[in-house]
Amino acid sequence: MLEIKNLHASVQKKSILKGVNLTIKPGEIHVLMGPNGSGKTTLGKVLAGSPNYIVSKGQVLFNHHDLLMLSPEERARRGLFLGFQYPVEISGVSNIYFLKAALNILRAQQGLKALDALDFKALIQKKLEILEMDESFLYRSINEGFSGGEKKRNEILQLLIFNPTLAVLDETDSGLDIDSLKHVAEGINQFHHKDNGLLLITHYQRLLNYVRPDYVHLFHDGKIKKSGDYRLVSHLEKLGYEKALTRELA
Amino acid sequence: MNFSDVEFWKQAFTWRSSVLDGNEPTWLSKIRKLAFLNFLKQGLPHKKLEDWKYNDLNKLLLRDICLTGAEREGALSVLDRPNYVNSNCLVFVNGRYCPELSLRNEFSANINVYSFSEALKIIPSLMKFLFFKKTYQTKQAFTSLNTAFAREGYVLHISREVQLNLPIYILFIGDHVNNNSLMYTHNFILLEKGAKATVVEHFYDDASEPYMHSNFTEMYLLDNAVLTHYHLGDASLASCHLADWHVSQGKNSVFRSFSCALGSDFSRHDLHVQLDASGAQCDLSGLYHVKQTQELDYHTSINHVKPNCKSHEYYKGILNDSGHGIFNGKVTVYPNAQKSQTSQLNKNILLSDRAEIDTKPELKIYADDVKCTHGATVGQLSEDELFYLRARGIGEDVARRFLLKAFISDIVDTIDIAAFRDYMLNRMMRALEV
Repeated sequence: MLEIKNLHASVQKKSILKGVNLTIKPGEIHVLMGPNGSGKTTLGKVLAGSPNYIVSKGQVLFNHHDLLMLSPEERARRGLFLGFQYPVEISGVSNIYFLKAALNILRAQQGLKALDALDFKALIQKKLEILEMDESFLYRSINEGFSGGEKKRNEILQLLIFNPTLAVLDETDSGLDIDSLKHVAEGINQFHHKDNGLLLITHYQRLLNYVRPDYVHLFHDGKIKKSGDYRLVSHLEKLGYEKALTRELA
Repeated sequence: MNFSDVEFWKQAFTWRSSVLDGNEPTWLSKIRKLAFLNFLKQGLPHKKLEDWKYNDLNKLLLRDICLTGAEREGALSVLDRPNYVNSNCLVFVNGRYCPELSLRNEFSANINVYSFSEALKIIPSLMKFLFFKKTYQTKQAFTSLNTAFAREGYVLHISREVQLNLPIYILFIGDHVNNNSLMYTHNFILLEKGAKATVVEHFYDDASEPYMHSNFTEMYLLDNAVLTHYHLGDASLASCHLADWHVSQGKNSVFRSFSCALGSDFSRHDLHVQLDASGAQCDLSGLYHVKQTQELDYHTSINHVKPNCKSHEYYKGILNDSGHGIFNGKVTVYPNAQKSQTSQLNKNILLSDRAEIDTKPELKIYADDVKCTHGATVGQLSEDELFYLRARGIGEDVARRFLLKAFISDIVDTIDIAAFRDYMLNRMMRALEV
């Protein structure tokens, strides 16, 4: 469903992605690990269409369409979801208003009729329970005054409501306490099935105790340096990025 | 003739006097004369006056005007009352009071709602009392001209301890307005001790030709009175809107003002609050939006004359195209006005690199035990917020409107009359769309 071929991207003339190649098939969970500043977040943002980055080379196919030609909203409507590392606070727009508006746009795209307030409430209620989120979250401004963990749970709530075909989750496990981590992991597992794909960007093994990846990639200096299965995670945990990379490069 | 022609004004005043003197009380003719002399003394505004420094005065002073034009009877095409109006409504068409379009409840004797001309007949001594409060001595030339020429407006007088729960709506409608006409309205609100009222002033029209409306509202709140005043300036872009509000507050009185300015090619809002007795407080807020080549100005001035008074100002603006906004918030704390508390905040969003905002706090503090804060921000829509919404499938235009609506929401939420709030928000969102 996703094919990234030799992707190069820069921000303010600084080259960040330097030839990323990655293919994700339906049902697969991929994990991207790597040191700070290696370009993982940039990859997520570029896939979602952030105007801050310039793609200088390469191609991205999403369900056989040229993803890079599409506006951010068009990418989302076609089933791509980015869970933000730092979800943006937007004061003055209530969470529920935003979620319902966005969901109905996605539904319209799929030829489904818009949900009214009642139907929407019923849908969201179940998702809130999975994440053990209080209903009061819905009536607060988007992410405003949310703790780090609450913001991340709100991202997973959106993942469950919008139900995309491919989700890129950027450090959704960072800054979570043990309970929150479990809820987030539970949300991810609820989302995942054989027809959708997941790209998890993370630093830690702990999320992977709950979510079992099919592929693990070591990302460094703007590209994937090494790929493997689940065992690569413990290898990286043991050695640290620096040693693992030195060995890889040697 | 254009506005800046003093000879024209002299002739106009002489003509006015010849027609009206004798039909009006002698004291009013005298007041008008004093006001006109004050206008001649003050002269027209010019760039060197601090209060007019940022205005494009040509936009105002070079307007052609014709004093008699407004009196034409219109075809009443825009006279459907806005949907939020459900009671107590006075309608003015082209500056003239229209009893047949107004909705007037039977009020008790404690509540007097009149048009200016009715009030002169029914409560002449009160009118005389109000006029002799000497607002004609103002430094604003336009205010003096208003006092010299205005023959209509509304008068609201509420007796001691009487609380009016339903708002009074005042609609100022321009209907088939004659080219270059100039209309004046002059209003009074007097709340006796402990009285309470809410007034909505709404300006709109169907005009495609230029005209000018000068509106002057004098408000007097005696001790413990509570007045909420709403203003919606939504006239067409052909118009020029001059709004002047003078407020004088007694002990422990509360004045709340909300003003929303969307329309008019040139609009100037002067809000002057006199905190004349201890414990008085005022809460002023506003929203404005300019586009194309609109110019809009909010000049507020608050005088903390006595101790223990509070004032709070919060204005937000959205400026698009080559629109130009001006916000000037002057606060003066007099030497014996100890324990004064005053805060002021003005936030702006520029949607175009040609748009301009001049925002200026002006604090003059002559007392030492006071708490004063002020702040101003000018920014753009956050790219991060826009991207976040777009990444969820919300189109760019809709996302922008989401954020603009969010930007104004905290002020919108303070409007107590739900139907008026929704109407105003709807008008504002529509203005933002085009």
